[in-house]
Amino acid sequence: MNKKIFLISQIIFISILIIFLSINVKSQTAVTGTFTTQNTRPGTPIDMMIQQHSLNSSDPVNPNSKIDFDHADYDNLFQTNPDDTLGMDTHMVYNSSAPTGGTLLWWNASVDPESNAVETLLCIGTDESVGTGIADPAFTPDSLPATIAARCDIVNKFVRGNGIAVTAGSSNPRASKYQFASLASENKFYYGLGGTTPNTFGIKMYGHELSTPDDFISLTGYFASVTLLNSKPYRPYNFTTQDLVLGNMNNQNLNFTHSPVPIIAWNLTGIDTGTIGEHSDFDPDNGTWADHFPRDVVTFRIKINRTESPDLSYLIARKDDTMVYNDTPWTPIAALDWPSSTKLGADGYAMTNYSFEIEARDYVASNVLNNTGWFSLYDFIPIVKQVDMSDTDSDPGAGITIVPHLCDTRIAGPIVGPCRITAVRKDNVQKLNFTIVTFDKDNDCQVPSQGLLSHSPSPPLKNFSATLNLCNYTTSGPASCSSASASFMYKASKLNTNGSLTTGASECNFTLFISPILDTADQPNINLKGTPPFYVRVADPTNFPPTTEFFLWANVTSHSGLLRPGTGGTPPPANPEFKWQYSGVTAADLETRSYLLVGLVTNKIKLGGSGSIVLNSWNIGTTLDDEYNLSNYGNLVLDVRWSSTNPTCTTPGTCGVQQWDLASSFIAGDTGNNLDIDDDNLVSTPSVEPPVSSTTGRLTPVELLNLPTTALFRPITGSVAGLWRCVGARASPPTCINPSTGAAVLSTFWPIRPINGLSPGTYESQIQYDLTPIASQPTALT
Amino acid sequence: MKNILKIAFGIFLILLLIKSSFALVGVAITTPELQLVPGEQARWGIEIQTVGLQDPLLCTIDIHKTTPLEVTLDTPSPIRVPANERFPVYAAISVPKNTPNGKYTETFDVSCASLGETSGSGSSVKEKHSNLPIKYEVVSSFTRPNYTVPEKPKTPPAPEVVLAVIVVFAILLIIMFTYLRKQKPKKKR
Repeated sequence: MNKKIFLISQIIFISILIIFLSINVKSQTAVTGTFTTQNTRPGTPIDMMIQQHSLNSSDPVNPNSKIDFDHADYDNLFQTNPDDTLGMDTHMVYNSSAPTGGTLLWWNASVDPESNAVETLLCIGTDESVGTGIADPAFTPDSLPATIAARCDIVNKFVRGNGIAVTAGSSNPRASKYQFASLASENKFYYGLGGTTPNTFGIKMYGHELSTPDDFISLTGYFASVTLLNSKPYRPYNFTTQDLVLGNMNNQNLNFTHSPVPIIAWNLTGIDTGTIGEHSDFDPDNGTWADHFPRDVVTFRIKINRTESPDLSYLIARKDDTMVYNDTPWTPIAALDWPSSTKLGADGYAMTNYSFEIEARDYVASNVLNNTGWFSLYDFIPIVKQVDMSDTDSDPGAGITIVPHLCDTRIAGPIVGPCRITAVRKDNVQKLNFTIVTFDKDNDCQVPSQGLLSHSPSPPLKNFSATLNLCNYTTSGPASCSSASASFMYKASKLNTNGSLTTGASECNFTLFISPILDTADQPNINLKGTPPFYVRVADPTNFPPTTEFFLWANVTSHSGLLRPGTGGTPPPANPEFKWQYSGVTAADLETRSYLLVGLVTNKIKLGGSGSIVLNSWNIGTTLDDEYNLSNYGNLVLDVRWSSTNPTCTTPGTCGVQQWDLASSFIAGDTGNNLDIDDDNLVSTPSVEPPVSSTTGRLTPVELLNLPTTALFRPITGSVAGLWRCVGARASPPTCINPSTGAAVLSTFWPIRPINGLSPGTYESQIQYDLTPIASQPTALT
Repeated sequence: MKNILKIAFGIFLILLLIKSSFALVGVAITTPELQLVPGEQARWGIEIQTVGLQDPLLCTIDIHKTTPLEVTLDTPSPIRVPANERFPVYAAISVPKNTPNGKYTETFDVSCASLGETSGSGSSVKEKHSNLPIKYEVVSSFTRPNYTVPEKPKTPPAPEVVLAVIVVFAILLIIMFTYLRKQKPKKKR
């Protein structure tokens, strides 16, 4: 039963199939079918992305390793962006140095259905509307108005046949690319206003089929925008000057500098990113993360203003991103200086204040720490601790020490302490030298010849100099021995320290050697006056031996050029003014008329002159050589008393019995057989004085007798009797004042009237003069 | 014998003074007024300046002793002073314990004679610095520091003194040795 049914079904199916095939064969033979194909427009380029690069970033594949790699930021209309949701953005600009050159754009090119060659027409313009197409209503797929092309002011590949070729059917969906840094117009591909406003550019692309004659453009364009980003450098903070504060400064919380070219340091802050603290970089755009390649070069500009005179100084430091800023000196345009209004503080410091600004700049953007602080330039003005004086040799320590607490002029009364040096007869001091011992808390004593501090570049510090003023007594008294009124002013040119100059020394010893004659060797460019004479006014006659009193004031300038005030000046502490004196010296030389020491010529004087001696007559000496001068080469006014032994015959074999006894032959006046001393030989009789018009010979002669009888014979000037001090002792010949105008030189002649009966022969006596400082020394200058 | 030597030295000195003549020196009183506490010593000095002279001098310093001051020169007068020098002369000074407080002025003279040869004819000239002051104040205790004058250098004993001490010591040793030798035989017995 089943087989029959199966067989019948097969027969029916085959019959139907034969009938159907017969019908079809019949139709074909009767109708001709046709159709026509058309060339179609290319597709629209899509899926643009822009190159981003990062240095030493986490490897996306292997996050544990750091690599430099290229990645891209997508147009997020199509894909999720790797770095943010803002669409295409980057820090790279037209000429940035990515590993492969300038910034790259990639996209998927158009696909033509007919597989014709296609190029991409690319327009990039500063006007973002280029991308959105809103501004080109006249545009149709087959027309590219010039107004559109004109907007492609950065990249204009918007002309048919001048687009960017693609390879049709490429397996790489982003085979098309454009790389910046080839066109001059591309320099507009940059950051926005101030370097920190994102600058967005418009991009539009069309596919263009390079077929003839269709010349099709894709029906729709691709538009996108790309934004260039830049971050400001981190704002500096914590400005510090690197000089350590020395000594007792007023305010430890402030910044100080002793160098006019201070080393300045600062810290970086993450305040811009919300994190306070120091960063390892100066700028967020450090190249190591998306949208922050390439690394920016950061420059710091430091502006320092003197508070009293703004904009006095600009100091610029260029710190690129590899610098270690504490170690790199900065080049000053101008050093800090000391305004004239700078005052010495009560603590001995001079200070002037400066404010500051620091600007961090990456060429297009800046971040400023401005006027939020100030610092002080300071200098300790050295204190004169002590002055050592010597007149003995080159070692000041061997001389005297001006001890402040004994020689200070504020101590009343005469000098009784060690504040004195010894004058030398017939001269000024031969080897006067000083050591000015100063104390400087800054530990940086220096003078030009001994180099500057170990600071690079060498700071233009003013140099130390020591000035020593010596003043004669003046009626204005102490505190007047300023440089303006000093009788003698010296400048110490040699500096010794008790430590290394490079590390500084708190004690600076200035040595000063003064020649008795004017000499420029040791003291250049100063008011040279040689050594101070020892014969000037006596300050205190009651302090016997009354001698000259001098004042001394030493001062040392440091880098600020300021001086401490003298005694009584303000503010304290002032450098003290010292007083010192020469010791008293008695000295008087009997010399020939031409000021040759008698003892060095003949060792004798001729009594009665050099002519023949006539007995019982006055022999007064008539030649010039019969005059002998007694000059006071010490510093005390002297009484001079004279005596003579009896002349005795010294010629062997000729001497008779008769001797000349001065005492028994003495008769007051001219009539006796006397041995006189006189100051003139102008008349034949000693007691007759020359006429008033004469310039010499005012003294009445006196007769000399044997010791112990002495005769006072010395000048009298005004009411003061005595042989005064010879001011010009150092001159050759000495320029002492003669008796007519002063009394530093006493002319002597030796009239004799020998007794009758003396045998012919040579007679000698010994003349003695006693020098005694007068009790009340005059206060005149000589 | 001793007196004869003294007289001979005096005659020699007188001869020197007579022979010598011109000696122009400067005398600087380098020590200012001193404070003295009775019974305590202080130092004092002057400077004899022979700058410019060619011959050494023999200088006599004569203290007048008009006050209680006792002056002991480090080098007894007369003192040989070299030529062309600034020659310091130092002394120890003191006042007796019973000296009343007060200010005093002692005086002294300095006269020098050249030790060089004289020449020429004529009268010689001698210079004397008279009545130079030594000012001092006798106090119970110091009210200020005195001017510093160098201390007298300690001179080694004269060679003859050293020799004498050695000889005496040697004699003593010999005596002791002799004594000990005499004592030994007694102990043995």
